[in-house]
Amino acid sequence: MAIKSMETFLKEASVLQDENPQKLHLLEQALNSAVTQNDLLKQYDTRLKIVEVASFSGKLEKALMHFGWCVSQHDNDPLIFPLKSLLWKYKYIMSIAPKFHTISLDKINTLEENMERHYRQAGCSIRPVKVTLASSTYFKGEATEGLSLFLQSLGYQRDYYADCVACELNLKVSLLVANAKDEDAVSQSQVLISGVNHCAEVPHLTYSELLPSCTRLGDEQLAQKCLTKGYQLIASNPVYLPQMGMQLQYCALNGLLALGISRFQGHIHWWQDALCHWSLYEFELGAMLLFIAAAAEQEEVTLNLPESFSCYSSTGVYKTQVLADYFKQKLMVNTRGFDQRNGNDFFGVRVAQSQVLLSERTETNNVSIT
Amino acid sequence: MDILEQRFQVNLSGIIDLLSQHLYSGPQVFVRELLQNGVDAITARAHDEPNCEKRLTVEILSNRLEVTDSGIGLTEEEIHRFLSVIGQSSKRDLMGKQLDYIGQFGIGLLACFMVSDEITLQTKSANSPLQSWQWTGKPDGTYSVEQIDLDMPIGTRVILNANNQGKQYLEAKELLHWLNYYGKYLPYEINFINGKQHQRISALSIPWDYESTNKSNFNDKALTAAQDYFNGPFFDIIPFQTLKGKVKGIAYISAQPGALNGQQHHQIFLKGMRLSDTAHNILPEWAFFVNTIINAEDLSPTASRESLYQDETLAQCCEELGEQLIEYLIDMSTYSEQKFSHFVEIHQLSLKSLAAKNDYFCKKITPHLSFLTSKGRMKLIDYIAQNAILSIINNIDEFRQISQISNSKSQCVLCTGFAFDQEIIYKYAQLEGLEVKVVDPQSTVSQLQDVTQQGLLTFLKRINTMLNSEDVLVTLKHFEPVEVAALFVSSEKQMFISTAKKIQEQTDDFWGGIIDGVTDTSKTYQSNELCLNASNELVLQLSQLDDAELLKTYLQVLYVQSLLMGNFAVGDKELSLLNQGLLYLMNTGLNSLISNNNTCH
Repeated sequence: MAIKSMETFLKEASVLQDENPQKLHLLEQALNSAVTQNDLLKQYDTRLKIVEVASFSGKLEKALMHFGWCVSQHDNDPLIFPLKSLLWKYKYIMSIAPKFHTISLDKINTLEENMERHYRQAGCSIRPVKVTLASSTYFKGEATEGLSLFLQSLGYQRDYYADCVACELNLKVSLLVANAKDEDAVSQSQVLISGVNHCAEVPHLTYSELLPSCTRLGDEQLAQKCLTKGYQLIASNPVYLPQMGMQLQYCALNGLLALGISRFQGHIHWWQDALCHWSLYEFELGAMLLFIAAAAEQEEVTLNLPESFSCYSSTGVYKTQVLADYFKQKLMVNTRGFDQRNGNDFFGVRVAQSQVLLSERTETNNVSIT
Repeated sequence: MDILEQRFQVNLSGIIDLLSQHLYSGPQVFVRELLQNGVDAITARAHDEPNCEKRLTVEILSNRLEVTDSGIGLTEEEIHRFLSVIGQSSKRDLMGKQLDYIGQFGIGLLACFMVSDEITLQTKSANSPLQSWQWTGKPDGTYSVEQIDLDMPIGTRVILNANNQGKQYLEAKELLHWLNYYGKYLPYEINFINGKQHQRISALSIPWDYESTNKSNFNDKALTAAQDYFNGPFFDIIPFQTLKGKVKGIAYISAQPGALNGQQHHQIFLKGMRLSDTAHNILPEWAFFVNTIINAEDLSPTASRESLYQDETLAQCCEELGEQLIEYLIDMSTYSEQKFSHFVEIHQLSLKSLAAKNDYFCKKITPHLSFLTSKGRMKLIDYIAQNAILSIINNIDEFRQISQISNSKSQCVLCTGFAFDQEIIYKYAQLEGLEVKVVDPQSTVSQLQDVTQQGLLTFLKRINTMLNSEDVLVTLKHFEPVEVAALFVSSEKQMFISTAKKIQEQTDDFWGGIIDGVTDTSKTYQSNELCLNASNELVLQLSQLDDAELLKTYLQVLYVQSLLMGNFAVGDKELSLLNQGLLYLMNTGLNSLISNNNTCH
């Protein structure tokens, strides 16, 4: 059934925001037509659009896949498929790849080398390469090294391909948080959360990523902002699944179980649809902590969860311990995945530390689910 | 302690600076103020003397401008009262008479100080026709009044001598432009004189006076009026009027799609005087497809007279105009279906984007929008009449899969995979309390009737491994329409894996490995499904076929055909399968024919 032409799909897609899932569907429809027509140029253009939209709508695996196709075309015929069209998107890909623990360190390192080679080949500053390297080092389980690399990256020249100031600063803040340099993180984040520096993803990311520091510093006022304003900014785009996980983690660790459970219910479908291991890890860690904390309070909880959820109960009544165990099992798969890939225990230690913190806090907190 | 009550001091040159720099958009507004005063003076005179001469003349004499009206004129006492007190308007004092004055603020004449360092006003009042008076005012706040011995008719003449800033505005070309801009549709005759050049400014025909014209003349007149303001082509031209604000006008429906959230263009007149071409608050924001020429008798301008004052009357007027446009659209969708489809086609994305945002517009317009359904395009209102629940598919791929079969079932599904469709349907359902059900291909196909006959079950067993290389699970079910031999069914995740595999074939080992990494998590998902129709004649004949090679070829061709039917991406591999299969089948058919022929011979 010929519903619409490729051009119509592209036009319809062009009026939608990147985070609108329909946009990705429409671009995929346009791509199907280009594939059937065997039109490589149209495929190339459409796939680059898909890389962009998929990166901003949470379909990270699709961004990687289509980018791979585009790089291969470039390698085959650099005149028709120019390098410059790939450089900006390289940054997305480099920040996505390490978040899948099924992508080996060798592959990530080669990808980093390729990115640097391509940036040098195009005569551009390698600052973006160094910034993404700092980010990927964190996902390799080397948070301290990640922060150090980030600080080194600042010595490279900014040019057209550099990330915006807000994005770079946000990365710095998240690396400071990962290194438990909490006061510094909060202080550096001020220009982001006050809106002085902002962009399409900042301070959306910043608020939730500051929550571990809020827990450690006991800064409830900032946490309140992160849980309200920060939530509003991320609530409608599945690309923020990890940040939603961080919100759950904070709620669990700080006795805000009713709020946490409400957010869990509202966004579990993001988790079901996600394939990115780091996104899954953060949400599963939040869900596990939430239900461990809930289990300490009450045996059962009534939830409105989708039928497609593996533990779905038609009555809506769920055993809190069962849910805690379920998410722990899921979490352990991803934790092992990262730690085995990285050859360290960074992700496992994070889980263990969170559990210890939770048990300490559960003893002192008055928690309430209702 | 005694409290001394004192008066504020007003610095007139400061006020003039305030007007010129901050209130008005530019010095050209002095033209409007002079026209306005002249027209109001004629209106005042015509109230008591309906047959009086009603004429306004604007004449340039070197750097000097004279504006003469045949209005009511001023007495000495009125000169002192109205011309010498800022903010005192003769028109406001006369409001009780319900006359149609344009001005009301009493600051208009000050605008002349933006182009002239002195204003001279000569006047003879209809109430005191034996005396003529001259008032001369300066920007420093001083003025003089003297009786003059001048043989002048009843009325007023304002004389300005251009200062440095005013010179360009008193040049014939510039002045003519602004006279036309502000005064073209004023109700009295206005003439421009520059030496030998005599030109009528006021139009002979007013666009919003269309009562006595037939449809054809109305269109001609409206199109002529539009030439000055808008670029066509127009989809339609419609007259409208409101009770609130006493607005009358013409709406030009654009025949070209505008940018989303594009600006409306309205030419707004207040009692015939051009007010603004940048005021957008007269129509609802959703009326993006309409440009208008509007005259309002009863709306208030802001003090700058360059936009409309946002009061209750304007809000009600805006609502009335919105209602009329909605009514126009609904009438069109009811009585001129083809025309409405054309309209929607032009403005589709903007219409949908608004319906997705605006509750009122969504509620009114959505029922009349047509959506792609498994029974063809259908207006939502007709869909709702036949279906209690809104069954939707949010993905075009999935819709294509289901639409082939759901047509024959009682269920009719709506495709909401296009821009804004999903938001609109959810919003509309919420506003009207309707139930929305999301349909997916897998569960729809799983509900189809399984085969039970032993022969068909054996056939299924024979074929279910034949498309292993395509990673497709073959199933056999009864469904309608019987003409559809096979249906390809896939979920988003299944499609992702299939696409990833195809991409891996076109990339090097490095990227192939990375793609492997991201598809690894999906290994547990079931395969795509090729559902053969056990009620289809071809499939039934295939079930009798013994030749395994031939059967496999038929299956491969059916597989690619089902992909094409669903507009799935068909790559080199599938096209090759199709080509090889068709060639094989043709060869086999030809060989069989030749062999039959030889046998006959």
